[in-house]
Amino acid sequence: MGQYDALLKPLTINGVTIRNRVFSSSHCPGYNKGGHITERYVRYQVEKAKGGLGLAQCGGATGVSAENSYHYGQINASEDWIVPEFKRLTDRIHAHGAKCTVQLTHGGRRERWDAENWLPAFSPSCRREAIHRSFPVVMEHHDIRRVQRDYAQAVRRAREGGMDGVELSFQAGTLVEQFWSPAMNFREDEYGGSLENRVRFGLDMLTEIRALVGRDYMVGLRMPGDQMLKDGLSQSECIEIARIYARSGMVDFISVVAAQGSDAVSSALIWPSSWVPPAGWLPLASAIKAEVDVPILHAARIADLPTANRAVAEGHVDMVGMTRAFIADPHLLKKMLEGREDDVRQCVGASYCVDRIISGHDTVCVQNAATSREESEPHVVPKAPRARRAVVVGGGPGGLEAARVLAERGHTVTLFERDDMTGGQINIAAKAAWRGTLQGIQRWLDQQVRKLGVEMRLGVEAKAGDVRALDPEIVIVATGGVPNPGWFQGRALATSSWDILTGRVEPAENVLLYDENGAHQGPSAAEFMAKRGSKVEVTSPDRALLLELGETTYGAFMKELYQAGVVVSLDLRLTQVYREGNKLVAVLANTYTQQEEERIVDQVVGECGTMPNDALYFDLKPFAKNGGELDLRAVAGGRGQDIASNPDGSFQLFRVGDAWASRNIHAAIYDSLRICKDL
Amino acid sequence: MAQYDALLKPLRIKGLTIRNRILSTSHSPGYAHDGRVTDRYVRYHEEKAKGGVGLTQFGGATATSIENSIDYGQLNGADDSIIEGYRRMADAIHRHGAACMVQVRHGGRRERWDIANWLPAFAPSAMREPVHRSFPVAMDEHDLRRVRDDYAQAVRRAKDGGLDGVEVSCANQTLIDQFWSPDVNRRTDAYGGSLENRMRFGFEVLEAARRLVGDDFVVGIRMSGDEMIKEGLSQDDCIAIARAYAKSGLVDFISVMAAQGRDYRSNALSYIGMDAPLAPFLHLASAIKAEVDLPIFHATRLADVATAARAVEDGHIDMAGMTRALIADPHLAAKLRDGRVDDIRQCVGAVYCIDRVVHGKDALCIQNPATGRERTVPHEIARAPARRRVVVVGAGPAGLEAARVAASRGHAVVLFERQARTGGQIMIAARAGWRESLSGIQRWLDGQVQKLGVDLRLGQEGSAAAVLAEKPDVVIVATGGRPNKGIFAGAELALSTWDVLEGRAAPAESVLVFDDNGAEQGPSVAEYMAERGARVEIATPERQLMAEIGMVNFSPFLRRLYAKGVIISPDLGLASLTREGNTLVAVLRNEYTGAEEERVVDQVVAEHGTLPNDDLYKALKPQSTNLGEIDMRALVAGTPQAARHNPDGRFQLFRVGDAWTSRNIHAAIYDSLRLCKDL
Repeated sequence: MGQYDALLKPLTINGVTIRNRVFSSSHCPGYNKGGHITERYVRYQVEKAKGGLGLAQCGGATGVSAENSYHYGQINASEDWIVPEFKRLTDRIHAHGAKCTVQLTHGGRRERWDAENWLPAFSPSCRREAIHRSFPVVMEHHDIRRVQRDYAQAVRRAREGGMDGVELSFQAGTLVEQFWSPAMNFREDEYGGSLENRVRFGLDMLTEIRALVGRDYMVGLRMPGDQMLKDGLSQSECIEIARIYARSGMVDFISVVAAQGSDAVSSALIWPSSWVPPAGWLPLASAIKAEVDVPILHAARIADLPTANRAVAEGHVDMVGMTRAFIADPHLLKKMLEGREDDVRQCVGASYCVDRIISGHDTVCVQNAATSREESEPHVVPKAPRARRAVVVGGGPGGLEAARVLAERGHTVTLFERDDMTGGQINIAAKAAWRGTLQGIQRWLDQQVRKLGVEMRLGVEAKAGDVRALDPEIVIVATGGVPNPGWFQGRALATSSWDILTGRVEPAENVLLYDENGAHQGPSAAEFMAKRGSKVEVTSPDRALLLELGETTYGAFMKELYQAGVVVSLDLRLTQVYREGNKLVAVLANTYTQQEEERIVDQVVGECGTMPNDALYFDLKPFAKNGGELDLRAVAGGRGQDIASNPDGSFQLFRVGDAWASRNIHAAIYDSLRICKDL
Repeated sequence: MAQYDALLKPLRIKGLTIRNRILSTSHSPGYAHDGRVTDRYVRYHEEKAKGGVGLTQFGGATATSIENSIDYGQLNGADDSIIEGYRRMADAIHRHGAACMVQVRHGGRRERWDIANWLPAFAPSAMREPVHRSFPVAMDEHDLRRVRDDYAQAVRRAKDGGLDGVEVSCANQTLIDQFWSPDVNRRTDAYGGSLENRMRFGFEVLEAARRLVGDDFVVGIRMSGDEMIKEGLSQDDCIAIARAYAKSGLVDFISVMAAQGRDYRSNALSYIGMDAPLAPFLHLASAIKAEVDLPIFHATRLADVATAARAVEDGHIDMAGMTRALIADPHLAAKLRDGRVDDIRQCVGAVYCIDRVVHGKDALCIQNPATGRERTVPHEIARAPARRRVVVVGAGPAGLEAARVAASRGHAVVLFERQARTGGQIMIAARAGWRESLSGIQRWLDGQVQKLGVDLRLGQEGSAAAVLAEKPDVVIVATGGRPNKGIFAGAELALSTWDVLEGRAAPAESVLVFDDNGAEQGPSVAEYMAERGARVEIATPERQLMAEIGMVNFSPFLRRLYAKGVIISPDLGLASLTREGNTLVAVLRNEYTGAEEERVVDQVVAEHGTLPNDDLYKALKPQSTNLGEIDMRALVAGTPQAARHNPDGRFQLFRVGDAWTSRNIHAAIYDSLRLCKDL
């Protein structure tokens, strides 16, 4: 266990003793409603505290002013009614030994003017940000004073609500950073121009805060280590700012990020996915630590315990943020302390969590469907009252999760997989350039089902007879889908994204990739081919590529595609493909005018999701007690399945994942978890 | 008045008497919360009832089943908890003598799978719809049974909730008309193939509903009169379906609309706005009325009472749906009855209301900000206790509304306008071909301020001296903005969108329009110039054009731009502009890679919103009691402005609309209404 000693040493910051060096950095998972803290949010945070976390930084982007908008499910700390809600949250986190802070944020120009309160956005200057697209009001002196007072009041509310401290968000391109940055602040008064002037707004705010709450309350800030922005703050300016604020004596910790999130590429940097190497921004935090004398916190792609431990042991940071690691496995530290490090479900950097939020949904984990659903889904699956015989067909994410959960329930499980390894479509997706880490999802599930004693029949395509021969009481059909290139005429002439990514078909010289799906598959295949020398045009009937995914993924993909010389053509539906000599002719119709144009290429790759591989399901249906029917109200309500429409049936039959309908990894895993946890 | 008599005659359907022929058709304004009736939603419909509507159909797209995703703020009619909400709604509406119904609807494939309950979408066949983008489950027999029973229960809840009837949605390609349409239904069982088979599911739903609610309860359907796609239902097919359903005796009325909502383009037809003449689809309803013996309802651009009255009088329809007309003016029927037709604020067909909803926001009227905000903002302005002197500078939408509201309060109002007419930017926007009817916003406001006796000083720039000479108690600065071409080297070489639309610059041969706003201005100009023979490319740094506006507006724009050969180039920022001989060289920079490309053109038009015209505001500020500060918490709460910082101040000073910051017409009008209603 000595291996992780550095991580396990307590740290005291301004009188608050944190039990270890692992924290979950401030983020907004979108569970709060109308600015109010929900039970779902409380349980989400409490689960991490139970799992051994040292510091839970709550309430990412918590609002401080009337003009702040709550469209990402943030908390509203601009009114006193939040105090008892904070109290409810902090009491329950403290009950499990963790400490907690809340992040207070005025978004500045990073707000919408046409939601909720219909107040304009405010910023040091009238420069619009590409993501939120508000033309801000240039702040007048009364606006500056108002926001400083609002911040101070919000800090007071945090303290009254039992928070151990606050983090002031001076990052992610929000208001205070807008004052700091010469790419965002063009003022000519005492708040613009020299660095001294640009840091004034934030320093005056801290003075206002300290005047209200005193010096003995933990107040830290989060800031960039490098804006990574043309004309923005360089690394050395960020270090200088950190020095100024640390020297002011008003700041108890500094949490360091990279970039600023004001466009899609910057978002892909500040909330890095597998596109960025592990611990890629640690040097930025380390450089600030070398220059200032306050504790340094840092999170970004620190997904595993050895890396986290090294970051602290080598003195780069004082606390290491494992935010997404805790989303993937809230019991991460507890498992380590129990010597079960192998059981930790490691974050693979898919950024599904972040992308959902910035698209206005709630955070869910691509691989752990229990996270944030603690009210209905267990992180530790309880044993069933009676062991039953279960058969799972298909070892993709849906099938692996079904086998895992059924085995945890204590059932005897046989898992059929046609291929000679498990993983299903994950294995295909992980072939794409920077998405190899997706394989971790399969690795963990595969190792868990083996450990749980599931009988694996790899390389065996199960027929109805094979399944029935095992005399099962439960059958889960997780046979996935078959690639659908689209519905155009001549679709048989098209290659699928699977053919390309698995290497079954070589990329040709001139390729038209038709993406009617809008998820990873099309761009993954396009990037794969372009990087192997193909000339690739991607067309889609949509207004933009990747509509199914969020901005961090979009930013990374578009950069890669454009750099590889891929041509993107939108608003075009593929209606027909036919052969002409050695070539293929593709007919594309404009989505708005129906006007047609042609492409003559060597290869057409079509991507329109999958069609269910459902032959086995239909073969088994007549023998099932429930005729294959899933009680949807029961599954949505977290109750067991008890449809028994066929008195002659001998087993319960369910289909999950893409064998039901083409969706994604999370949906497949969630189908299985919520059905099987009650079987 | 006799010309409107047809509209004012009652209509009897079974035991229900509707007091007149004015109807608000089923729509979802997005005011329900988690599927429940809210106070806001009740007040919205109650206002129409107060205003004299005959029948208000609320709850557009009310869910019937657990798998329905309630992502547009719909009602959840899938369990008995809704009944209490129905009662609240019915009581409020009945109190004012109007009748009410709810629309129940299973969206089929027109649902999302990755929100709320995470259940897949279901449809007759597995093909995806481009707007909602879900790959649906091809419904199993047990799915058909379940949904049919869910529908029947949902109808029963409407009856239990004391409603006067129910509308079963067979429109917008929701589930029942997904079965009807050969475009969606590819089944080979008893529910697919022949028209008889395709109609079966809908009949089963209605039969199941009748078994629960009996024959006396009013049950109607809403359906398309022509799907307007070659793979879909023709007008003849739709008439045949209407005939079959009428003959069944299961149905008490038919509400007819156009197209089907499968894609953006079709949605733009179904909800068509100023892109079409008045009553563009009346013939579809009329054709069905000629063939069936049931009351026929119809809505689509029956924007004025004359058109609506004629449609009823000439026997095309029985009830005139004036849904958007009632959003613009919920008191329409009462004003008609009271002989105040001139005071009706007429819908201009901007479709701001629908576009907000289809993008997940709440419906708001572009010109009437009281609609949907009845709790805080009045439709009838109350008199102030004391008469004050109010000076308004600028007669764009914000200034006109400020003058109207202040005059309605009983104040003495002077309105300065630099130009020879009122309207401000509305008049520029209305110059773009098909957007002319926007000028209706100006016409009504102008008519009202004249009627209210506002002292209108056209052609007079309200200088500080001119304002002070009026000895005002209150000054409203509504001076708007001036075009902002954006921040790039050589911006002075570019034209503004105003230069083009106002006719100051004639379109040249080759033009680059650079749109870094995302609203109507850039596309309006691109279309305007292409129509006059220019070769136009429109570039934007965004993923797509018109990121700020919804599908009912972006769709006609795209159709027109493509049809006129305009080239659309996304993901490109404008880095610099230089003159070279007679031409301009524009350097465009890829937003993702930074790679640069050039365009050599005759003209560059650049659009980046407006910058506030704030000289007057700044000049007056030191002499005001509040130093120009708006108390934003008071503004949001709907309470009077009380800030006083300057004991020497002589008047309250506020700025509104684009003089505060660049937003839109609704924001400008709302600023003025909520500020001035309490002055």
